[in-house]
Parts: sequence; C-alpha cells; structure tokens
Amino acid sequence: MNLYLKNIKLENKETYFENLSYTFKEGNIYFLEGKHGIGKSFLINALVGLSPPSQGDILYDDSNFYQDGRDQRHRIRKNMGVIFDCPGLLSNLSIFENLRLRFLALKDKNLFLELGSKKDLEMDDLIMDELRDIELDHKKNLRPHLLSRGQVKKVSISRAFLSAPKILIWDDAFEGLSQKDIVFYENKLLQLKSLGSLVICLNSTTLINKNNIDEIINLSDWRN
Amino acid sequence: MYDQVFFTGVQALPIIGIVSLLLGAIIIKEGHAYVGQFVDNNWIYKIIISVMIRDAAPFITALIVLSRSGIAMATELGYMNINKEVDSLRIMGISPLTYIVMPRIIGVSLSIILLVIYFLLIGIIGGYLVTNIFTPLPFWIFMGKLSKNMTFIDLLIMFGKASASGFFISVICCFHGLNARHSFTEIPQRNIKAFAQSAFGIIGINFIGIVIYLVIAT
Repeated sequence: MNLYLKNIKLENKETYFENLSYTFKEGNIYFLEGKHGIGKSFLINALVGLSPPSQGDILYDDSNFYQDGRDQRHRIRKNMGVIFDCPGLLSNLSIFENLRLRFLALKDKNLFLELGSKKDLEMDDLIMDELRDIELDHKKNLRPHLLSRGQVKKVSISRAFLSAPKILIWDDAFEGLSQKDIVFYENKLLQLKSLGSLVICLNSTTLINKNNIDEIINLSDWRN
Repeated sequence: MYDQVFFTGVQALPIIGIVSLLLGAIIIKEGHAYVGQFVDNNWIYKIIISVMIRDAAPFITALIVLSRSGIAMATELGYMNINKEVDSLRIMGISPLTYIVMPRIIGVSLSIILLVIYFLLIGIIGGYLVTNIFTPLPFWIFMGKLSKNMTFIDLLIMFGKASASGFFISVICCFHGLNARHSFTEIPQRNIKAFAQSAFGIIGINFIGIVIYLVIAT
C-alpha cells in the first residue's frame, strides 16, 4: 500500500508543514528524523486519522483517507500498525487480552462476546508465540501496570506487528529498547519489508543500521 | 460492562445500606415527633412513600453514584485518553463510543436501578424498626399497609428518576473524561465540571419528576 501526501498543511497554533507533498512507496523503510518539537507526533496523528490536515489530502493507494468516509478509513486502519510514543495499552486488560483485542478488531468480531471466550485457539497460539518472542509469555495474565516500562513498550510494539500490517508507523522508533531488542525489531521490520509492507519510523536520531533503511528524511527540510 | 456494574453497584452496597437505614429510621422518628400525634396511623406509610420511595431513594442514590462512580469514571477515561489508550482503540478500528462509553452508560443505568431497590429495602427495614418502637406490629402487616398506600405512579416516578439520573451521570462523566486531552492536570478540572453538571442534572431530573407527579396526581 502506497501513501501519498498531497499539498498538506499541518498547523496547531503554529504551522508545522505547508504544501507538503511526498510519496511513500510500499516495500520500503523510511526513517523520518527531526529534533523534538518539529512536528513528528503531529504528522503521525495526521497519517493515522486522528487529526486531519488543515489543507491537502492524504491518500492510501487510491483512497482519500479523510474524505472517503468511515468505512474506507476503517478498511485502511485494519491494514495499519501504529506504535505511539507512549504504549497506549488498555490498562483494564491483561497483556494477552490487549493483543487479543487487536486480533478481534482485525476480524471484525463482536468484542464483548469474544474477548472473554477462549474459542479461537489458532488466534491464541499466535498471541502466545508473539509473547514468547518477547519473553513475556509467563506474564500473559498481568495488566500493563504490573510490568516494567520496557516490557509494556515491547507489548505495544508486538500489538502493532501482529498480523503483519501493510503499513507500519512507529513514533519514537527504537527509543528505550536494549541493543538486543533493537536487533530483534530491526529484523522484524526487514521481514515486513520483504512482505511488501510500507514502514515509516520517526525519531530524533536513527537508532538502527542505516543500510537497512531505504530513505532517511530530515524533517527540518520539510519545515517552512 | 460487568466490571462497571460490579464497581458501581456491588461495591456501593455498604455505603448505600448505611445511608438508607439511617435515613429510613430518621424520617420515621422525626415524622413521629412532628405529626405522629395529630394524624391517623397511615401517616407512617405516606411519609415512607413520599419521602423515601419518590424522592430520597433516587436522589440520594444518584448523588452517591455520582460521587463514587461518576467521578471515578471521568478520571479513568481522562487517564485513558491522555495515555493514548483511546487513540489506540481508534487506530485498531474500534469505536471508543461502543467499546468504552456504551458499557459504562448501560452499567451505571442498570446499577443505579438495582441500588435504588436496595436503598428502599434497607430504608424500609430501618423505617419498620423505628415504627415498631412507637406502634409494635408484625413485619408482614407493616409491608401490607405500605403496599396498600403505594401506587404504580410512585414506582414509575422512582425508577424513571433513577434511570434518567444514571444515564445523565454516565454521559456527562464520559464526555468530560474523554475531553481531557493534553495533560493530567486537565483531569481534576474536568472532574469538577463533571460533578457540577451532573449534580445540576440530578437536581433537574428530580425536580421534573416531582412536577410530573404533581401533574398526574392532581
């Protein structure tokens, strides 16, 4: 899935980006660098549908994200994995249920009926595999506040990676992870890339091997 | 939703029980001191019905639910919003309205009705215990006389006020919780607004309930 920015303007009291046009192509890893306060999180909010640009269009393939209606936006979001600068795990669910919620949303299941059930064994196995990968399978029934900050971060990253999204957008990418985890998630990004997914990482500095990145963009070049 | 019913309904039972028991006892005791000597014996039941069933039960229960669960709900949603839990739901294609707000509205509205019934049962027991001091009579006779003096309108007004208050509290508190967007310091400010607006709403609903009753009864 390609992402097109067409003459977008992002402003919130001050103007962050104006007349910004760019094409992010599927099967590529982009790293957007920029100092704190340059508008990274604001840009992410616009890309994922939380705050529309005051001008211009954001298109995923041929779908206008903000103008083609809720159903279309929902369809695009199902193909999207997003990692915010803070984990955003639901605090009243265990980490297993948090991952399960993502799967149920992907399958358009009735959340109230399905969340407590244990019928979908295949789905549960996939979640357990994911938790095993990040060495948190033994803590699957704990709620996020009972885990360390790093562990919660890893669960939130795993949630975004579940079901191999066609677009992955990662704010503060690789921030606060150990070297071992950085290598682990770097490999996961490369796997996604090999599947043809589009990956957009944002941070103030690039924390992974630059040879694995297709394009590094300095956001100060995009600022007015 | 089950969690909401448990938190709003079950965990509020002790405080509701104490308040209603004391209120039932005080109403009868004070009522007896002022009017008991001048009117017939049925005054006890009329006071219980007019004060406890029609007015005090839905009003006091709503205030307790607001101060316990309503504000807790606004705080919880405020934290969820600022911690980007709500944004995460949106990104996953889950509507916060159906996943977060609706279960709370249904849970609080259902709990408040159950709490009002509980309030009445305990309040009537308190009233009976005090009544028994002035005019000893078996419980089943007391209940028989009470139900004879009670009309369908009394119950309708009580449940109507309670469910409307529950709905109003949950909508206002969810609204303010989800509107705390930028920093944690917004949460107490939103709580104050949620409490003030909900309290006004409860007073308004009870006032409308009284007006409706007076229109129907006269």
